[in-house]
Amino acid sequence: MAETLLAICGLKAFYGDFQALFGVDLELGAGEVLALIGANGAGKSTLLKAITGLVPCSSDMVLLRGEPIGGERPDRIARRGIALVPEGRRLFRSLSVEENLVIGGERAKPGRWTLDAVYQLFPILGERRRRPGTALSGGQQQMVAIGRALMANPDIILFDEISLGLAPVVIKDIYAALRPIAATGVSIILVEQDVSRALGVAKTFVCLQEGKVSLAGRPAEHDRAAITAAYFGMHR
Amino acid sequence: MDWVNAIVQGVLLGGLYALFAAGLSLIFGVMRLVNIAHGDLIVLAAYIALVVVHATGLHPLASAIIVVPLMAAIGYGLQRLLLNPTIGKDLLSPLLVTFGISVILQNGLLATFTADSRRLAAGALETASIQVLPGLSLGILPLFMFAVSVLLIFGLEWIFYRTSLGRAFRATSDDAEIAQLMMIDRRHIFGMAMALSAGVVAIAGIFLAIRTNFDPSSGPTRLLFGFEAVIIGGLGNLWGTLAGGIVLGVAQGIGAQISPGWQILAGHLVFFLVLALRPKGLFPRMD
Repeated sequence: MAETLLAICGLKAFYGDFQALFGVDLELGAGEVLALIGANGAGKSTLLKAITGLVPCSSDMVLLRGEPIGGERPDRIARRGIALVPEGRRLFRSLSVEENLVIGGERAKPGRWTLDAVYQLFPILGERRRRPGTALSGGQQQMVAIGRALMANPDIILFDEISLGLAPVVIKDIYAALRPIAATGVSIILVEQDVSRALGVAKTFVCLQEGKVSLAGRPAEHDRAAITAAYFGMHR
Repeated sequence: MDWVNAIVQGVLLGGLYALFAAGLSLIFGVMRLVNIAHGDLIVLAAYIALVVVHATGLHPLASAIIVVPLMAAIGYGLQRLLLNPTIGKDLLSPLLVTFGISVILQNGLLATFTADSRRLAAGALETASIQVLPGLSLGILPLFMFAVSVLLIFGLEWIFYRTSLGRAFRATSDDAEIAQLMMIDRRHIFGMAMALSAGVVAIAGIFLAIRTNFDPSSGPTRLLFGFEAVIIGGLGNLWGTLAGGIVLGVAQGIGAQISPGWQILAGHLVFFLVLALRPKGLFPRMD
């Protein structure tokens, strides 16, 4: 396995009194694509929110290159090189397409991802750069959300449900774009309900069930039935 | 010609009202905060200008060089120390904090400067005028204030729509949670918004001090005029705010022409009419 970039150690997370995660462990290697799968409410989004600092947790539960970063302010964690493509895109509605991209990168360290590079990856965004971000179709909005995260030139990108609510043909386009992104050496955590699609691009996977890891490893190591059982919490 | 004069003077007064309102509109736009202390901050700026003019002998308008940065720093400090800790939980707590700031400012100014009303003398500029039509003269000072107000609103618009800071303001206003993931420190951005608002307040305070008498309890009335201008113009639209200020100023001018007792009332009536007929204001933002 590649050098560990991000390690989640016994992560517990709460929304008020409600506990969403019960001691989750996970390791992401440099340049690796990890699929995080699980049913609705299994805690996938909570895990991403804890990594990005949007949900509080203890500092030693999230380690970036061995350094504890859990519970830091979200803007600090973003500065350390972790970007999120949030569920539901969440573009800034009063910003144009181009402004949505620019704001993703203007406080970050420069790197290979520039406006031109994003427009090369998603040419349609270049054509619509002056439009309000939210005036685009769902798939195009997803492209803006991905481009916005890329503009930060992060070391890790977290994708939360990128295919949710999109037409199959659009999903195919979005996934096609993931390959060149992964090829740049960025590490990726892919949260996805479409298990077979996620496992198709991932090197490793972690399956969550009711806030705990029910199965983890390489997709090839487990047969389909074992993954399905872990997904739905069936004991064999 | 009296009526034309009343309307023209009303327009010029409206520029000042727009200035009262612009900072209020900015703060509401960025952090959904209704700043009850806004009027008292205007009066605070007027007193600071008074002190600066007495201490340095500067012309009141030139005192802006000191008053604007000082007010901006006060605004930033207030936001970081008092308001930020209360923002985001619910709408009421920051509102109550600004109410507290308002009470403290009024009483602090009363204790320091007494209840006597003051005024800043602008010298020969106060009486200088140009005749545009027979029977219609415009004061240089009101014209200058109007021009500055328009320029300031233009400048605020430019910051809001053309700069990195403005992008951060809009992004934070749209989705504060995701904005943080763009490496935006929300506490600093809110501080900058309040600093900008307080900088505009400083100019408004100096103009107020030159134009009329003021005392420690003058704030709430300015807040009310500011609110009315914002609501008449439509929330979240700075050019609308300028229009709202002018509508209010003209209404007061016409009211005063009817009878002196009608000046303030006419403004409130127009505000009430707009609120009843077009609750979103005359120029609501397209969303």
